[in-house]
Amino acid sequence: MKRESLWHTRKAYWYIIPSLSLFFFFFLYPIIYTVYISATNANFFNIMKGPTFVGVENYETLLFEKDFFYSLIRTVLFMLTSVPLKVLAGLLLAILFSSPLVKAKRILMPLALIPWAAPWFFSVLIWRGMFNVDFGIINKMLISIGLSPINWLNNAGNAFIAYNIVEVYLTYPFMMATIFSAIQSVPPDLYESAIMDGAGSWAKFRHVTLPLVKKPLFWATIMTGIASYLIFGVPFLLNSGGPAGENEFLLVYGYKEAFNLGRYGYAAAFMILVFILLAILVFTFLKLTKMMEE
Amino acid sequence: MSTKGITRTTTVVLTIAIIVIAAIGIWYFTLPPPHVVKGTVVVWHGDADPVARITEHLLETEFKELYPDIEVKYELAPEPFQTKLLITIPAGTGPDLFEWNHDWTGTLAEADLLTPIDDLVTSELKAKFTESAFEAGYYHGKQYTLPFSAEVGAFAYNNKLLGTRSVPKTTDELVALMEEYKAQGLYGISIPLVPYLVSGFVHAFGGWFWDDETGTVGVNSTGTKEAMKWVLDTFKPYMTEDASWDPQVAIFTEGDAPFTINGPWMVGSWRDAGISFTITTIPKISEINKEPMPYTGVRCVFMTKCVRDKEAAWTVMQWLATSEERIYQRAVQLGYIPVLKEVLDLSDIKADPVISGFAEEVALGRPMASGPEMVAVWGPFQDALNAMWAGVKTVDQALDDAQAQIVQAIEAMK
Repeated sequence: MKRESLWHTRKAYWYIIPSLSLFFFFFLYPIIYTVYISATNANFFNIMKGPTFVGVENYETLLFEKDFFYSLIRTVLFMLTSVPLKVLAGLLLAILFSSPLVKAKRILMPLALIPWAAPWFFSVLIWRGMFNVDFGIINKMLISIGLSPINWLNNAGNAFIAYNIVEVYLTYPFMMATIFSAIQSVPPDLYESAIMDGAGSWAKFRHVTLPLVKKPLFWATIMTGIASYLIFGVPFLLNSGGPAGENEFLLVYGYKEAFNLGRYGYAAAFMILVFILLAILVFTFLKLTKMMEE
Repeated sequence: MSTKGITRTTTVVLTIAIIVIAAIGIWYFTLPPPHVVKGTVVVWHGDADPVARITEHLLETEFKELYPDIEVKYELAPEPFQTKLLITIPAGTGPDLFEWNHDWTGTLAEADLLTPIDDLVTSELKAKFTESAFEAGYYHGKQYTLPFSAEVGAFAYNNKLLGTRSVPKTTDELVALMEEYKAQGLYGISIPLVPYLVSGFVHAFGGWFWDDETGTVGVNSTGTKEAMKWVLDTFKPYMTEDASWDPQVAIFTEGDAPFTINGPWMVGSWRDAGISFTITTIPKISEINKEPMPYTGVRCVFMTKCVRDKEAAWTVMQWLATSEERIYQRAVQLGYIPVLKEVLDLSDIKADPVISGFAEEVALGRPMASGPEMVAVWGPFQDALNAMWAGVKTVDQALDDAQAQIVQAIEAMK
């Protein structure tokens, strides 16, 4: 009996070998290679010839690099603004679509999901055109109502607002769909009981809907928070994190170090540090969520 | 002579004939078959559609007829071009050949991403090109490229908008005209704010980017700073707020600006848009009484380190550089200056106003530095341009920061 069980276990290992190999080559190997590169002086010119081992030198440089800290602060600021906006937009739309007062949901829901379905880079490029100071439709609309045009992408503060707008546009469908499906799963009799207890719309939302959608809402918030932390495409395509690097978030900074200046070793160390910070962030958030639940 | 004698003679002659024919047959059929070059060659280029169209068409016609067994995949390179080369060539997934300016030679050769072609180039082949163009692909004792055209950013004006007014020869005259157009609600000029297109002003004021000979960075030199202050003071009031590539290109192509500074890669788009234009030299800078000296580039074909079929790739490389029809069409349709002597000497090439306009500017220009250090210059200088244009930093601050960043990156390379 014991031998048979061992045989079954061995057989199971054979079965998982293909997927383990794939995991090693496509996931684990790049991570190990990045760790190795981060301990070398790899750059444009020596990557083919073989870089030299420099130990933790890249990490030391990174910890004294003010541009790294600036990009980290900017990224955290972006998380603090974009995550609440995305959650709020998704929540409001989910409540709206859950309301029996809204008609033609079969038409409106698919329309609201368009930003999710369209290729994101295509949407960002359209937004770039819309934000253009001279020809963009947003400024044309502002002028038509008697307001001054705004230099959206050549001013650090305005560009930051533009990133938030585009990020909310791109990710609200995810938030909306997650919260909407959670709301749909709330048993209707709970609402009926609340009504019998004299609850109004706000009370129903506060005491019935919110507690039941809290878990998926937290989960979606973590996911969208990670997306904000790792934001790259929006600032890079809108104005390369400009003007003058004023809005260089973590990944834009890392990209420029790696591919504009060819500092592969430094950029690899940077990526590892970004990953460690992200892991700490997610861990803290999960702990907080658990504490709140308790 | 008896019948018997004739028969014997005939038999002997016939036997000899049969033996000779058989010998010829054996000799013929034992000959090695004629050598046919076969294979698939991937070529990356960085040209927009009107430029690429010429080569794509000729690959389907002329090349296919000459080399039916070679398949050429002529593809628009993914962006950012150089970064993709740096990533894909070591991984073995890059192109066999690619087309770009000579200034990448040093960077890519130092990174060991190119295959030298010294053992393939014959003296006859070398003699087909102008000497300076051929030598543009020479780096640290090795030849890496074959050239096919020269290019430069020159001054272009819209014939319809300029009308009977005189073509500005100095920047004072240019400013007076820009003022006039501004009063009419148009933009004065379109200059995409990129290092390559402002290089003429930087050099005229005595500034520089990177000097291969002295090994120095001149991004925050007095000349560069003076040049950039002058550029902002002179042109900014007459340009769009957004000085990036797309809006700048759009205003000239749509007839909203009478003047531009740009290169031959734009000629096809202007013609497609129905713009009547003339190419000439950039006006002399009145304040210092000097002609701008823009960077000139030599368009080349490079063979990468990950070339899969060297013989087929070399065949394609030679054709790209020596197809007279390709070089001729690029010249007459787009204004790329030929460097293939046979095409350069054609009378209609010499008489073409667009080509001669660019050629005049090339004569005033300065070849781009091709040292690997240039790779560290473009990005920070572009950031500095954006910062000073947006007013986020002063010219001095922006260029000092860029200089520090470039020097740090060059140090890291060592």
